[in-house]
Amino acid sequence: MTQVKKMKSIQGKTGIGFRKDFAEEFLNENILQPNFIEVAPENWIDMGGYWKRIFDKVTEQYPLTCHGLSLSIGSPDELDWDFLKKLKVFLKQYKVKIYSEHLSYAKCDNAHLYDLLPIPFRDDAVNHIIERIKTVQDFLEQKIAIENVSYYTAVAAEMDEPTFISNIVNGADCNLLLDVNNVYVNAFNHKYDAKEFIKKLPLDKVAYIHMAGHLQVEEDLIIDTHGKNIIDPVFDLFDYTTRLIKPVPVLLERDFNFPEFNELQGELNRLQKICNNVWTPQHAATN
Amino acid sequence: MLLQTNTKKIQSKLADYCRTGELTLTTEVNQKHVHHYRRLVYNIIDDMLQSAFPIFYEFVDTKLWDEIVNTFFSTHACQTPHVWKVPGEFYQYACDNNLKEKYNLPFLEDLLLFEWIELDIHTMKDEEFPAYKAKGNWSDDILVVNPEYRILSVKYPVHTTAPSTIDVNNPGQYFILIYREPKKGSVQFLDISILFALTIEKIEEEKTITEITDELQTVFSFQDKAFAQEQIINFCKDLQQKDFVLGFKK
Ligand SMILES: [Fe+2]
Repeated sequence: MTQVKKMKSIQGKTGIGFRKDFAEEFLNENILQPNFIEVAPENWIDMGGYWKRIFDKVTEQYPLTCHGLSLSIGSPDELDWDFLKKLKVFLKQYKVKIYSEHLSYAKCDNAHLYDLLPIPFRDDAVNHIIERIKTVQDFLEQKIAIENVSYYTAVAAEMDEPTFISNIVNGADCNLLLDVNNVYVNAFNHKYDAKEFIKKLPLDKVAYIHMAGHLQVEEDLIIDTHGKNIIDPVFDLFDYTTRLIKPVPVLLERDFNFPEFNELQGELNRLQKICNNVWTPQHAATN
Repeated sequence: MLLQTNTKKIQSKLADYCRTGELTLTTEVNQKHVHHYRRLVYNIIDDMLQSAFPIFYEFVDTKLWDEIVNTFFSTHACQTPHVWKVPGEFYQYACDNNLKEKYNLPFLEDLLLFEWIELDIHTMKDEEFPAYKAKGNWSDDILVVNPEYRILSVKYPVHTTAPSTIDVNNPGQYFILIYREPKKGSVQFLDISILFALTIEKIEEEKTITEITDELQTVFSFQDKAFAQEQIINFCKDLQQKDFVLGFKK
């Protein structure tokens, strides 16, 4: 059964972010049944002992995608080659086909910050990032997917966000990880129309989708926490998005404040139902 | 570099704000909301250090903890791409900046080292286990030990005594054997004497217990060498029970 699972395509299927917090329960129970799992490679590279065994066990059972934290593609700093070398080995070792990173920066002036800082939407930043993505793709010998991030302030912007994202994705010829919840969050925070925003993105480049919950912390601000269930308007936006793109893997991000597994599985089921509804061959044939 | 100086400067200022809490950007950012970045970034570091150093965190008052963490994060440039390795940098920072004297906490370095190494041993990359046989001669065969361990030498008994009851005026010499138990991967630690710390060091040099006893005779001047050798063997047998001594060299 586990072998079958590994061989299946994950296009149009739903997966979940694998967390240490629920690792044991996940392996011991059959309640949560994703089609694939996603991890941050930074949390597992160089890891041995107990957690390495858990990781090897879970990756034997599920296809793996990786979503990085420390590449810092938008950083003014040089790329970290030591890290990239380890990353390449890791991606090859675990046969990771989809590796994505955030369109943000997490390191500056030679100091890691371990969080996602917003990049100025500017032409020079676009060109700088295009070069870096190309370099990374050449080195890793695979395309990477770049994710639209949530942000709580624009920073000295000289263009709008969809232009910034599109120019980078097209210029670097990389894939786009479309985080639908981030679009919703940003549309709320920066007062734009989420659907209009999505239509402006290079949708032919979408290779992966993220879905998550968020938290409204001020009357005019939502933070992308990954700590709550997905809300209905984000499901609606997801439904809207799926109709504009080809089938891709869909990942549920949940980083803390974990509910019971059957509740998480319920969210996966609801996402899968939308995927099946829109992306099944019968539907495509009648379209 | 394609990035222009001005853009670079803005990025640098935002990063600097996240590290220090001092905002030098004005119209470039939303003044009402930018503080969330400082809060989110700082919380990641604070949470990581709290979970890595639970004994120290419990011991110090919140104000001092905040001061230490804040100064660390604003002045130290974190080098590791792995956030779970930041506690190791924090320990090194505490040593380099002599925090034990600055805050009059003589046992600080020992405590941070102990807490960090427990974590480090738990997560360290798997070492290759050497080949060994289960049975052999305790006196004349070379013993094989679990390679996933560290022996710490500390001045204060941070591994046995709560920080609040440590007698700071009475430093001594303590040795702690910390290792990863191979079956479950859990971390074990043992308070050991200097005699046994040296024994382990010499086992690693591939010496038999008879040879080790001879060498340690010059250090400790045993009254009864045969008894000393028996003690060392008993210690090693106990460590075999505890999955530290694996067996005998093939
Ligand atoms: Fe995401």
